[in-house]
Amino acid sequence: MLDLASRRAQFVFGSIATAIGFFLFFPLFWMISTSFKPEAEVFRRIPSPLPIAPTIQNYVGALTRSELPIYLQNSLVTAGLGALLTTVLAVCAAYSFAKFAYRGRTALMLLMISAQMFPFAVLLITLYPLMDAAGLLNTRIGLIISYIVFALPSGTYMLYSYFINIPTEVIEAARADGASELRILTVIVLPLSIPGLVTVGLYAFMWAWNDLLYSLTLITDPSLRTVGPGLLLSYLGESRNDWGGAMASSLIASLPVVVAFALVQRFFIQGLTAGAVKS
Amino acid sequence: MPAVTTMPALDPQESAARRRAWWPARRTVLAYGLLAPAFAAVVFLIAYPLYLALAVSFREGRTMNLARLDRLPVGWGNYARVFDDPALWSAFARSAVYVGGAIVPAFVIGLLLALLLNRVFPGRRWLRSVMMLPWAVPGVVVSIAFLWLFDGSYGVVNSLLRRVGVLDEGIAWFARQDTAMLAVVVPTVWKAFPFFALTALAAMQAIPLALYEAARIDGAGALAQHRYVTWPGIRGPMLLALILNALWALKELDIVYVTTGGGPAGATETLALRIYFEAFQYFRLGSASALGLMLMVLCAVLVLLALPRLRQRFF
Repeated sequence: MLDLASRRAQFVFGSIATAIGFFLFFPLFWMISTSFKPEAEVFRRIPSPLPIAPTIQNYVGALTRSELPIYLQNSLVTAGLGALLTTVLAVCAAYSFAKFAYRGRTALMLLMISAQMFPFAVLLITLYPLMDAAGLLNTRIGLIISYIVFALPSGTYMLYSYFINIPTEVIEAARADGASELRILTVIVLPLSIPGLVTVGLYAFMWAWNDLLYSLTLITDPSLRTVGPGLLLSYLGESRNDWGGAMASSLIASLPVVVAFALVQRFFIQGLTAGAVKS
Repeated sequence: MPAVTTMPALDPQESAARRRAWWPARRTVLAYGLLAPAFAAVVFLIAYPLYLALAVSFREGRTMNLARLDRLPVGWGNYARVFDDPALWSAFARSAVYVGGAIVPAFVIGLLLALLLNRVFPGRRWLRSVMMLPWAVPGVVVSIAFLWLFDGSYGVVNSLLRRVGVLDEGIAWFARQDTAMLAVVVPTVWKAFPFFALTALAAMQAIPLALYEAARIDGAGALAQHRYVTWPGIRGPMLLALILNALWALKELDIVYVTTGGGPAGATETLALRIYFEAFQYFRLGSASALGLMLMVLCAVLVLLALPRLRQRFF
């Protein structure tokens, strides 16, 4: 704990707090402020901090006169299904790691966790021709499958630590009553792990929603384009001066991840910092 | 099940014993079966592409078609070409500047923020969540936001700098060779520092208050307490965070790709970006793979550094 007794310490800390607060919040503030400015106010040499004549036209334009709704829809489908698929695979793998003993379990688990370390850009080099050969280039299914790669390793680990804490006695008791392994998983283990499932699902969703590279590379059909490449191609092309629209669209595109993050942040912050506390 | 009713009643103990006898095998099959889909995904999306990258890196020529790959000659050509290319070494250097330039400030800001938040005040929980926003927001959005903040003509950063008298004329930060690297580092710092802050905060909150109490009794001032109590308590986790973030920044593409696309004149072309361009702009699958494997070696070195810590965290 910090002792703020002396005035000098107070002043130093006050300045640092202000500087960091400014760095953290100013970009967010400026995005929101710009998104409510009419065009004339966006292009002023000395911009005013808040919109003088606030307007929602940038938002209306983004939602009605641009391709943004299509991109949002595509992202919702691919990120949503990708997250679902990731969660299902992570549940199965984590349950196998947590509640079964077999040869090579530790090695396989290490392999799974270290799978996260590989640079996506490098994987993409050969994933592209592979997807091409499989006929999955330019398809939603191809993108959905690719999205598994983002969160499967950490999702498996998160669920593993969830499952490992479910008392084995509960499972043994159910087994003694003659319940099948799959029944034990669906009726006993999963209901006890709902917060974990939701966290993994939303975490995978966030990664998939935030993706730029995979979607940009594996999808060229504009009607299948997701928000990442969509924003990039709509606002940073030749007409890169609609900053009001760009900010409004960016904020709309961030909304789903911000909501997802708000829902999971408690579990998530615990999970992210669990290791820190342990060591 | 009808079959059960026709079976002679078994002694419960005997039946349990019989079941147990064939359980191990069946349970093992089930365990592998549960693992299979995830494993298949890892093989298809990670292991096989990596194997292919290795194979392709020894094929000379230009193709994006795997079926035609067999017809290309085998050799070390890609590696030779890549190593001979002075552009590779400058890409290395730029990656080092980018990673160091982003990670060190993010570390410092994160640490300071954690020190500020590590005490009781109203709204602390709220602030702890809100500070994670940069980390959660899509890289494309962060990039677009900073392009606008640093815009040469109407950007607010230029306007503020003009007002305080640092600049006379606006600077096109992302478009000038001498400022572009700084301009791509700033959004990267913005995206990375929450992770450090969170790590430091969690570690600080795990330090027993009794330690501070004891230090105070021993006559330690505020600074000495941080030096001898806080820092030893957070050093390990912060080191891990440093390595994980270096790994992330080394692979990071979104921000550089969106803001400068490696320009102007290659001033911000990091190794990761170069690999991407090599593959998807020049369609040189072979040299892209050779470069990619080198990036992976670099990552592997970082992972090896992190491994003792990772093991502590995961096992």
